[in-house]
Amino acid sequence: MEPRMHNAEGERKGRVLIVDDEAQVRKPICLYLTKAGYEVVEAEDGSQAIKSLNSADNPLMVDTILCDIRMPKINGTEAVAYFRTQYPGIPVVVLTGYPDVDMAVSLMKQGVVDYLVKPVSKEELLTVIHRNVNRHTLFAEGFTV
Amino acid sequence: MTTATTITQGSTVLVVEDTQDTREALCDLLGHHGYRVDAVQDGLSALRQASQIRYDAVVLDMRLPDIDGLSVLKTLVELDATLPVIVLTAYVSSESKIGSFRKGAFAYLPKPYNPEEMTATLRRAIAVRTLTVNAEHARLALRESEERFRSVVQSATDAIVLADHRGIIISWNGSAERLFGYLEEEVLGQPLTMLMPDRYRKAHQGGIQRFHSTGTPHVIGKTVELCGLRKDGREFPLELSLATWKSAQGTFFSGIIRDITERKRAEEALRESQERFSQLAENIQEVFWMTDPRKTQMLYVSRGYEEIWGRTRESLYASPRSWLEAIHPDDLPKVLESALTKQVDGDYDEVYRIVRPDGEIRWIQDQAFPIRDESGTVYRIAGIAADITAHKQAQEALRSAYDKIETILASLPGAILIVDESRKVVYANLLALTYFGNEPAAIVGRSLCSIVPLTPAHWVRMVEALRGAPVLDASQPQESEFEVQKRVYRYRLFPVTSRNSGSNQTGLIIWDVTEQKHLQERLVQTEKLASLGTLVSGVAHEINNPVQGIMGMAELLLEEDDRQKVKEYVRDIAASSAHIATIVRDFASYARASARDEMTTIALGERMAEALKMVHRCPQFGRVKVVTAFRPVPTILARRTEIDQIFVNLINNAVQAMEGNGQLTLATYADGDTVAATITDTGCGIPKSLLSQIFDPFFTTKDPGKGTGLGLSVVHKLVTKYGGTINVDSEEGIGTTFTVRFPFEASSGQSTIMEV
Repeated sequence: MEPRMHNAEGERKGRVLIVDDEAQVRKPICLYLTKAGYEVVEAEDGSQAIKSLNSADNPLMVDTILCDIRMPKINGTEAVAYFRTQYPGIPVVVLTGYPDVDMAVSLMKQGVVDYLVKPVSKEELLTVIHRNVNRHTLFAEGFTV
Repeated sequence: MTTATTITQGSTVLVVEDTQDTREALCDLLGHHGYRVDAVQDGLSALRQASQIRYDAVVLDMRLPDIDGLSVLKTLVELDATLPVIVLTAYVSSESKIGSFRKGAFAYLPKPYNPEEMTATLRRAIAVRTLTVNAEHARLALRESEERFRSVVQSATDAIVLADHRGIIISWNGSAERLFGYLEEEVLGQPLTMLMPDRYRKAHQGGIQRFHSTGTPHVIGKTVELCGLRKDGREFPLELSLATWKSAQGTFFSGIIRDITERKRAEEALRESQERFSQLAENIQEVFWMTDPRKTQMLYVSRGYEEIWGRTRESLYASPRSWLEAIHPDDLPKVLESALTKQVDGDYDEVYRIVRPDGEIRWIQDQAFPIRDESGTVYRIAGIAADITAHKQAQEALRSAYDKIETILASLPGAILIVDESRKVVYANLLALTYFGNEPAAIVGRSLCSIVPLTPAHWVRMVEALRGAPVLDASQPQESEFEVQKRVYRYRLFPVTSRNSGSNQTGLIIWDVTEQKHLQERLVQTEKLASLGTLVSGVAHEINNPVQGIMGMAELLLEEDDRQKVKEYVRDIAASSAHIATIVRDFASYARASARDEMTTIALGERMAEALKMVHRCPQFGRVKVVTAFRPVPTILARRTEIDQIFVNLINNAVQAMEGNGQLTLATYADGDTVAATITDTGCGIPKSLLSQIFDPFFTTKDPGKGTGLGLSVVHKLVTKYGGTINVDSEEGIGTTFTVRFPFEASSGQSTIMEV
C-alpha cells in the first residue's frame, strides 16, 4: 500500500484525474479540488490520461477519473471504455457540456458511475468526487459496499 | 239564139269594102246583129286599123283599090293568127279559094252575099275565135302556172322529187341535186331506189306494188324518216313527205325530202342532255324539285323524294301540299312562312324535320333558287332538299364528345392552356379560367405573356427546347414555376400535334402548388431547424465550457482574498466571456432570419468555409482532418442561407459518415460554364443499391430519432432551384464525394423564377 497524501487537516483525501481539453474548465475544477484537499492530476486528452495512469515507475493510483467525453484525439467515450476495461476499480465520472440521455444510458451501462453536466457548481462537484473517492477507498481497504 | 248573141255581143268587126253600097249595107246588117263595126275602103287603112284595134273578125273584099286582097289577108293573119277573116269576092275560083284558105281565111263568101250566111259565118268565126283565144289564154295560163310551179320546185330548199307510177324519177329540183349529189340528167329516168341504201330497196318496191294493187298507202300522205344514199356513197338521215296524184297520164308520186342530219344531231344532243339530267336527278340522293312561284304546282321532283320522304312522287304531283304536310308540326310554321316569302328572293335555306309515314323523323336542309325569264320575272322555283339526319347525328355525337372532353378537361387537376404559334391562347380549360380569368373571353384570344409571367423570349426558348427534345422524357420533366397573384404555379410544356400538320401548337399544363410550396418551405425550415438542432448541440456543448470557466472562477473568487489571484481569476472570467461572445456571434450569424435573406453574390469557397466552422463545433467532428482546396471561381447569385444550408448538410453528413476519424476535403473549381464545389469524406461510403434513393425525402440510414432524413432531399431541392446539379460518387469502405455544380451564366437573372 502506498502512503497517501493527507490534507492539511490530516484527513485522508484522494487523487483525482481530470481529463478535459479546455483549460478554462480544468483550472477552476483543479482549484476547487485542491482547496478541498484532493490531489489533482490533469490531462488534456485521453491519451495523456492513459499515459499518466500507466507511468512506469510510479503507477498513479487514482481514486476517481473525471472525464469530458468530447475531445479531439481520443474520443471521450473511447477513453472511458479504456478506463473501465483497464482500471475497472477506478470509478469514472463523466463531465460533459451536452446532456444526452442516450449517451448517459450507454455510459452507465459501461460502468460510468456518475454524470455531470457543465457548468457544474463547486458544491455539486465536491459532493460527487467525495462520494466516489470514498468508494474507491473503501474498495481499496477491502470493504465491500 | 241567146247564146250566140252572148258570145258575139259587143264583138268588133272590121269591114274592108271599097264599094260604098255594099259597105254600108254590110255595116247595117252587122250593126243590127249587135256587132260594132268599123269600115274601111282600102287595104292600107285596113291594116292600119287592125294594127291598132284588136278585132274579133274581119270581112274582107278581095278586090281592093290599093293592095291585093290576098296580101291584106296574109298580113292580117300575121298580125293575129286567131283573127278570122271572112273573104268576100265576086270572082270565085277554086284556086283563089284554096289560096285564101291557105293564107288563113276563115270563110269564103261570094258576092252578093246571102245576109243570113254572112251573119252565120260571122257568128261561127267569132265563136271559133273566142274559143281559140280562150284556148290560147288557157295555154298561156297553164304555161305560166307550170313556170311558177317549176320555179317553186327549183327554188325550194327541200328536195322535191317526182316519180311516175313505176317509181321512175321524172322531176328533180336543185335542192335534190344538192342533197343527193346527182345532177338532173343523172337521175331522170332512173328508179327511186338509186337514192336509198340497198337494204330499203326491196321494201320500197314492195310498197309501190302494194299501193298499185291495193290502193292503200302506207307511207303516202305521211311524213316518215328514212335513210338516203348520196352519190358519194354516204348515207344520211332524211325526212320524206310522200304524196300521190292521178292524172290522165297515170299515177304519180311526189316526195319532199329534207336532210335531217342536223336535226337528228340536235335531237340526239337533246336526248343525251335529257338522259344526263335524268340520270343526275334520278340518282342523286338529294331531292331536286321545281315548282311555280306560288307553290301550287309541283313541276318536277326527283327520285330522292321517295327515298327520303317515304312517299311516292305521284302522290306529291297529285297533291303538292303533301310536301308541307310531312313537316314536323313544330317546324311547320317557320318553314311555311319562309317558303312563301324567301324562296322568290333566293334567301331560302331552311333546316326542318319531317315525319315519314312510318313515324321516323328525318332532318332536312332545304334550299331554293328562283328562276327568271327574259323579263326578269320569277316564273319557277328550283330547289334541293337533302337528308341531313346523319349529319345532325354526327353533330350531336360531336357535341357530346366535346362535352365529354370538356368534362374530363374540367376535372383534370391541372389547368390546361393551348397556345398557337403567335403565342395566342386558343384554348383554356375550366381550371385555367379559374386560375387566370373568370370567363373564356378573358383568356382565349389573348397573348399568353399577358396572362402568365413568362416573357416572349423565354417562351420561345422553351418551345424550341421542347421541339428539339427527341422524346418527351417523362422521368425528367422540364418543369418550372411562376407566381401569379401570390399563388405559385408549377408548369410544364407539352407539344400539341394535330393531324392537319398546319398548326404548331404548344400546351401548358399548370398546377397550383402554393400549398405544397408552403409545405415544402416548412419542411425545409423544419429540416433547417433540425440541422440547426445539430448545430445547437454543438454550440451548447461549446458554450458550457466557458460558462464552466466563468462559474468556477466566480465561485473561487468568493473565497479568494489574494489580490493577485483575484486579478488572475477575473482575467480568466473575461476570457471565457469573450469566448462565449464569439460562439454566439458565429451561431447568430448562421441562424439569421431567412426572411431578410436576399439574392446576393455568393462566393462558394467562402460559404463552404463558414459551413465548416459551424459543423466543426459538433461533438461528432472528433479528429477529422480538414483539407481545403478553394480555387478562385466566379460568383453565383443566390440566397446565402440556402447555399449555407447545402454545405452544412453535406459537410455534416460527411463528418457523421467518418465518425470522428478521417479526412474531409472541401474544394471549389470552375468547370466549363459551371462552378463546382466538392465535399469528400473517407467514411463508410454508400452502397450502390441505395445511391438512387439518397435524395429521397425521409430516406435515411440512421437509426430512428437520429436525423430527419430530409437533409439530402433539401440539398437536392436547393441545388436544382438554382439550376444546378448534384452528383454523388461513392465506394463502400473508401469514402464519398458529393459534387455540386451551379451554372454561373444562367445564375445572373434567374429566368425560371419570376419575382413578384
